[in-house]
Amino acid sequence: VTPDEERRATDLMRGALQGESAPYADLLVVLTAVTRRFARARLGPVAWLDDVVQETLLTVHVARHTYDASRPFAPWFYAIARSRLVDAVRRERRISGRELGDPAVMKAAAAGPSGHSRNDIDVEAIRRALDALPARQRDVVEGLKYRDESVRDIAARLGLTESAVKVTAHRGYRALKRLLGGNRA
Amino acid sequence: VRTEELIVRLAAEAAPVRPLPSVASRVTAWIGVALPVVAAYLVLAGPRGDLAARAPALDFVLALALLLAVTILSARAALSFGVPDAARPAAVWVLPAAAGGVWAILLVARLASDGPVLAQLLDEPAHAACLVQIAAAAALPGVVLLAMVRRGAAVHGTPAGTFAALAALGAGALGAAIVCPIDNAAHQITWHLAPVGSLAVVGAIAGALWLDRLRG
Repeated sequence: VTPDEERRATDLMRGALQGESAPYADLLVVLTAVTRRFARARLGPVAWLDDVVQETLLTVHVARHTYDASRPFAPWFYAIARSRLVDAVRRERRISGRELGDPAVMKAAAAGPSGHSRNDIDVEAIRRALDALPARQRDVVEGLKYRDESVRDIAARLGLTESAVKVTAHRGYRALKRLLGGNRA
Repeated sequence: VRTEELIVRLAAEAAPVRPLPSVASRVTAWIGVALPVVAAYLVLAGPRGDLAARAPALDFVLALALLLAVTILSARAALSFGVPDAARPAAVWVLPAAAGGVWAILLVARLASDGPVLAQLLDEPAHAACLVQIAAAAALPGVVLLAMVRRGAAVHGTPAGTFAALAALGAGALGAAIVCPIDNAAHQITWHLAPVGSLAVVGAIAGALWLDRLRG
């Protein structure tokens, strides 16, 4: 973050903490650029750069109550960005390992939606992709999509905040999309 | 979801946010929980019979001071690790670690000066009551501190959990130091220091699994 970005981000964050959506949107736009720059400098032009950006934004959103407005913004923000970058790298390695290690997932992903009847592909490939997700992501996605649980119910059951459930679901959907051979956002 | 759409969605959820209280005020609040628990432990177990005679002894006072430092500084470190901060001073974790380290070094030095180290440790009779009492006295303050850390946004769950456990166990060991009449170093190392160190590992595991609730 340049000194100008730091000043601007601090001002915008103060507005965001007061519940003003315009400064909050501006802040997230600034942070998108900063995170993309930060991640690209460390990862290179990987296809999942936007995953790091989005997860950083989601974490900023969920963790914004921990920002102390009397302190500089950059150290708070970079701690989040760095940890989400490390998590994303670990997750990519894990998912890549599972994709390569599971021929059925590879086959389903390679076949694509036109390779089989729609029902065959959905049930089989999605089931296998769900099994490849980390346990918590799988639990949240299955709860929302299969068991018709509400975000609130899942949050209560898992001892998470509703925002954390949404974040986990978002990550689960993205991982499923990759496992099923969909385009990256 | 495209990033632009995510920004619109998150901005739409903007609402006044109640900031987390400062680390100092949360440490104070936690001491407000831990102190009565230690006091209750002292009342229930009763202080050692020779407390008045031991109180002026330098090694005794030093041990109490170090355990108090471990307790308070570890609580501060745990709560600090519960908030994202890439510029966190090293002193936040170095100071409680140093206080614990000095306590351990003093005990080991005393053990070495008392005679053959291994023989003393092997000859040390079982006093599991100290271990149980330390763990029991640490349980409630530990759970409360972990919950307080979790209210933040720990992006480093393992150190947060480790220091939360050390803070609670430090409080338990502080109580045990006033209750337990056995001063020899082998006993202190086996039944006071070792439980604090090994149970801190439980805190580290709990921290890694449970504190970073933002991790998918």
